[in-house]
Amino acid sequence: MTDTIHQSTRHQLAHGEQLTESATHLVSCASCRTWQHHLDEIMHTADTLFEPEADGDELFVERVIRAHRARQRPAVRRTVLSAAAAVVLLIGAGWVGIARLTGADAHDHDRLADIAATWEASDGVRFVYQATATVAPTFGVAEPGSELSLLTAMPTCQTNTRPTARSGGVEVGELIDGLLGNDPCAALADIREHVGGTAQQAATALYRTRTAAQADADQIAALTARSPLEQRSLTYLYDTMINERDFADDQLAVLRNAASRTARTLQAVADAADHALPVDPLRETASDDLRALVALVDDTPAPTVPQRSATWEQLATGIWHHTSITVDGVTTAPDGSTDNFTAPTNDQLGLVTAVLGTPEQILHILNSAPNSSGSAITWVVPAGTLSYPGIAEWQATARLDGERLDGLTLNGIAPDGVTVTITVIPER
Amino acid sequence: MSDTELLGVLSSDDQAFRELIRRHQRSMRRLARSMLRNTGDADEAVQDSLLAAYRHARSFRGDASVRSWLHAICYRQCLTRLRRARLDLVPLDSAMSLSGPESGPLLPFYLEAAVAGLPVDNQAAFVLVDVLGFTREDAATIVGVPANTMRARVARARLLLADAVADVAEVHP
Repeated sequence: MTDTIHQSTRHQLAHGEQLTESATHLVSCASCRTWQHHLDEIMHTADTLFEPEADGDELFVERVIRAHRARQRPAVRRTVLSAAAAVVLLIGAGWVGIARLTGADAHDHDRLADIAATWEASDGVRFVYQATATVAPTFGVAEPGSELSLLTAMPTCQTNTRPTARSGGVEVGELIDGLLGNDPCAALADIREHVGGTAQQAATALYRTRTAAQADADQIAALTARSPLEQRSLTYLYDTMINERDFADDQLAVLRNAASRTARTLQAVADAADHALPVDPLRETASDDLRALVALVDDTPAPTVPQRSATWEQLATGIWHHTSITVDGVTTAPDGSTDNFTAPTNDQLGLVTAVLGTPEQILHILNSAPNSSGSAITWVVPAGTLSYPGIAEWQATARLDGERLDGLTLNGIAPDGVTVTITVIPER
Repeated sequence: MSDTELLGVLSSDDQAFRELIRRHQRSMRRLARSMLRNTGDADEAVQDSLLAAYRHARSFRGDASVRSWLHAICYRQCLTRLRRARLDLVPLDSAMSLSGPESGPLLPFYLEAAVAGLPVDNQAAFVLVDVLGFTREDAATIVGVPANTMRARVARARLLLADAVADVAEVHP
């Protein structure tokens, strides 16, 4: 009976119906009330689901308009392409042939399709490949630790001497002079106030750096990479943050030791002063310890904005053939280290494959361009032509010198912070 | 200009198509994203839907609103893609085994995963009615089922989702 009344109540709630006899059950059943709460939350949240990025609306509108225009002119392109290919085959491969063929009519014909046809006809186009890829994973700004990492307090005399009021900063030499003078208790009060305070501030800053770096590293560790590029970037950023944490830890340990040592020595000075004993034997050690502590505090690096992105660069030369692409180049990591790659298949970042995975890809890109007589043509590459995890849309820009392709640049931006720019420059 | 008026001048007015896209792309992309689970595929499906709407504008009979008509094209486009890709739909149980917060700021992310795990009929019903705000009758027209079937599908989706959230709350109190 119980199961049935639960089901009946929830069924009515899901249908948005008025509860009848179930209303009584709902009042007495905590489980169904919790279930109703979950349903309310779902209904309240529903209208926020599956929202595309707010700033992508106009981009998407333009994308559809471009695709619409591109589909309205395929017949023209095919005619130009096949005519160009036929003539190129007749007169032999080369940019000069195409330039002569089309030089008389340099306006508004499909020059990039002509260039694609030239590639097809020549089988052996040398090119330079350049790529820059930046991965900026999306994760929250880590809250630094709120706990203070307290240093040992600097001692004072029992006389409870008040520190000297000062308008500006304090020189360590001045404090040491005071320590060596006739009133060490006043000097100790000043040291506690000024050196102790700044040392504590430095320790707090290091502790905050340390905890923020750890929290950032934890967030990065929880991210899932969808490509070799992202994987290597996450590894690099994780290592960077762990190094930052370890560096702050080391600095904090050194600072703590110096503060403890100085406090011990100054405690001896305070004890001697309290008991009217000579402090001379302690002066040298106290001065040295104090100078060392002040130097450490001065050298404590100010907190910096942690690195939240990784940029990679690739440079290679290659040859485009009908059936294959050879490419030989170097990848430079964000830390400056380099790796060689000798084929699209062993490119550590997988970026070459995105654009030059097959010989047809670059031809498809060129053939997808709109007609233009300008020196630069920019368009959105049709979906599916290029494939890279996370990047749904690639924008292409071809720079032309007359009928000659000076370079083809492809830009891809993934919603989660991966930006890739790849340029292919054919040999002149 | 109303949607119907825009549709009537599509072939002679470049800006009309742009305006129509501007008005409806966001909602169509939400529907496609919920069904295809991949933003690239979803945006492509919406693009194809809008281009198909342009080509077939003259076939619009006015039985339903332009908005419903566009979403119906989009729905069919997504279904076709699902079938063509033979996507392995995540069984409900495994989608529901996702751990996540039963409330709070992460609930939308969890809910999107849970919606993606619903049977496709219930998924579309929930998205059309509860996410995009179509009436059950309009949603029934879009999907091509009787209104009562749509009512049942919406309710079933809500039941499954609330059960899933309740289960997670039990495991991760």
